[in-house]
Amino acid sequence: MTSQVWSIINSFLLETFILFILAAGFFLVHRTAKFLNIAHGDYATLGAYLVWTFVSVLGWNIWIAMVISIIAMGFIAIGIDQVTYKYLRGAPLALLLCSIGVGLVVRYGIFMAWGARFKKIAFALPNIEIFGTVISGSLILTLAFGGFVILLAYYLLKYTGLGTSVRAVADNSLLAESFGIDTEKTLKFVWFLSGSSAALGGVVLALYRPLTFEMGFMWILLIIAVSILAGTKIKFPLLLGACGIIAGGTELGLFFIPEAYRLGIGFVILVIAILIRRVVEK
Amino acid sequence: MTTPFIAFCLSFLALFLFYVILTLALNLQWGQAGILNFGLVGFVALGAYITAICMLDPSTLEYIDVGFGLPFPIAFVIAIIVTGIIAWLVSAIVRLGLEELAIITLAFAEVVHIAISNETWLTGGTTGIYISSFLDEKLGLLGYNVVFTVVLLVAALLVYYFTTKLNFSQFGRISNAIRQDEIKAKSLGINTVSHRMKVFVIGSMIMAAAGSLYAYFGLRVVPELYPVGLTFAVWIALILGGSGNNRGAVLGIGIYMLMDMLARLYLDIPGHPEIAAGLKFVIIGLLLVILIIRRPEGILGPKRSRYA
Amino acid sequence: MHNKAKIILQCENLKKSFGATRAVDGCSLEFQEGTITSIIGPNGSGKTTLFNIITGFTPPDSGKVYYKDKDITKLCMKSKSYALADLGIAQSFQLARGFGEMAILESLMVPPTIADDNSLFTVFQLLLPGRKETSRLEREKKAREMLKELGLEEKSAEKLQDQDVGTQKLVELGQIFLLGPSIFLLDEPLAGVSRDKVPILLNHIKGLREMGKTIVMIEHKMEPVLNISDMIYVLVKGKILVNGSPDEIRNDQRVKEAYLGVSSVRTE
Repeated sequence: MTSQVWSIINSFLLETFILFILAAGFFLVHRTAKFLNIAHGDYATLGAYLVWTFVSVLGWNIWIAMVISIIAMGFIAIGIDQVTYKYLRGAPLALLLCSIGVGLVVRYGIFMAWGARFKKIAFALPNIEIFGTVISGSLILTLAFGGFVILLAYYLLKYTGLGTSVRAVADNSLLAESFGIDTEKTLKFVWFLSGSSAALGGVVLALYRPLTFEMGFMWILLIIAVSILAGTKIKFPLLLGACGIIAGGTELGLFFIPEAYRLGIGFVILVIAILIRRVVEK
Repeated sequence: MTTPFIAFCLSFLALFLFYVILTLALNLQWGQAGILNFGLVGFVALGAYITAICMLDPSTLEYIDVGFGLPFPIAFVIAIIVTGIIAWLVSAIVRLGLEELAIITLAFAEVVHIAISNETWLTGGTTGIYISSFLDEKLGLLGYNVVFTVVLLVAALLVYYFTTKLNFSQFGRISNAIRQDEIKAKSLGINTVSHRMKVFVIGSMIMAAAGSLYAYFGLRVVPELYPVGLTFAVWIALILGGSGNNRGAVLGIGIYMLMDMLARLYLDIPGHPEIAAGLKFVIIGLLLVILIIRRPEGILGPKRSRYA
Repeated sequence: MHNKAKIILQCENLKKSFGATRAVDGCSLEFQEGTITSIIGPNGSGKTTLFNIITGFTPPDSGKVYYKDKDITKLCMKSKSYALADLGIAQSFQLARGFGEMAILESLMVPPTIADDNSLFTVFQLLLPGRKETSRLEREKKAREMLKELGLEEKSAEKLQDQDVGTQKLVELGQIFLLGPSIFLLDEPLAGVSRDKVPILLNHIKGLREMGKTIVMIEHKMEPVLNISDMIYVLVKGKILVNGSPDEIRNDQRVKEAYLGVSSVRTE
């Protein structure tokens, strides 16, 4: 495999899976609580910064730090919901604007606490060589995490009681309530998953870039795009597909359009996809 | 009361008026017609940059190829019209749902930002364009700022007058009707999509005008002046003051800028510049959250119509 | 029918399915000018969908619609409800729709008139100081007249959303009237209306007929239907079971069967 082709495939896989992990939690909230949580990217950032703190300040083992951070973010997400979003159930616009506020608090809270200078998590992973091509350890880890997320999502949604409740609430929360489903408990579960997957996404981002207070927020546009693109039901394979379309389309577009417009290409794909969906739905 | 201090106060006032105009324009789109526009800063930037490009004499800057050397009034008009045309093209999206509208407008502003940062041959890239204004040469610091502020004050009053009059006219009545019940409006023979497109265009042209004026008196256009945060700042101000309300919009900006100023003055802990900058946004975020939860209509409450 | 009045609206073999459900399954109806036609039938028989097809809120799968001898099917297919309203086809809704936040007087000022010009050019003219909106006084006058007609003068400054259903439906009727349509499609105009207000609404509806307007009603309250209708269509499961004069329908065995065992017929 020529190195140029591999480099493109590498970029494509990376972009798809990073986006997927970051978007998974957002997607879940979007489908159940029915609003766009603009603060989601900032949850990811917080997760990454927690890991940095555990590793660089407290000297913990990196894997333990990751696990603790992921669990912690799950609870933090629940906490935030209980204090803010809970009072706005069923009002998507108010929730959207509220999440802008929450995002500001988290983002600039991080800025205040950890400062503006870039931080780096020391995270050396071994590379593997197959047929003369070097596959970085980071890529393998990213793919592994991505695979883990989608398999976990599949298992939880299909085979657990809470997962079934999640699907019911996503479909029609009023109907679900009348069937005796405790929507509040289900939402707590959803927020835990959302927060923890965001933290995982933050950790993955940290594999490739230094930490800044905006690192998660920068992705929110693409996250929203793939979530809207992925349709109206909770189907994680569709989300992965949407990530693939955006990532693939972007890679394709980069042949013709300069790198700086990466986001713009994603946006054009989004618009086209929305229009296509509209025509199909008629 | 030294001259530089007065000049500073005036420029602060000018910034305030700039934000007021933007909030009034956003209120026209959102408060009256219910159009969710997260791409505000994109239209401001378009107005500013088109003005700068029109006024530039290309021979003065080697890294920019385009310029028309036009005087400001003509550049101003061109900027508004061209932005209006672009807004018209974008406005076709008003027929989409709120979520889609939100993200497409957001993405639009992002793309504009990327374009102005990268197309150095046109926009000067990250260096931007410096505008030479004859006023700058003729007047001193104080005089210049006085003119700056007065012009913006007149503009703000005009926009306030125009948007209020529009709100109470039949045009505004239809906007409000569409916002409250689009299906009902359609059943009464109102072409809701076409109407909202018009509102979108008008609002965007006002935003471009504000951008143009501020760029001219600010003497330069540079990408970092037009960040995504500007859109959210205006939105926050709109909500702080009570969306749908022109007076509330002004109040909201006032509160926002007051907090900004206070943060700058009192939160400066030496050695920790992050505290001041960060805390300001944290407080704004908290305020937004509290306000949305406690009083969705904002501080001044919903608009009262002349008939109720 | 003695004199064959002009047929103002005609539906030919309309079909509309939502997934596997055939909401409207080959309906053909015609409405004579200056009459009151009622469409009755058990819940879920496709009545509202039929209305929505005619007024452009739901595109049909197949079939044709003719209005004043013109084929308007294309407009219905493209969901151009505002254009259909413009032509003179007006609709009121099952759950009274209106502009709740507006004062009643103002909500009566919304319907556009031919004199309206909302082009951007006119809008910018508002910038000129002293430029009063020439049509506003005229519009306000008409709205006040309508309020008087409806007997709601004292409520002119009250908000629509604070009113009881009967008042809301009255206002809705007024709004539609100000549009100047030829045919009124009223979806359950009496639903949720308090007993004392029902006769008022019925009187207005009859008054419209006297003016030469055409009314088509969906209703469940059988007594008013039988009293004021000139023609009744019975719709069951998306198909027309039978149509005829009130007397014919009253005595029709099939109609009785269709209602019994499905939903109770409210004969108040």
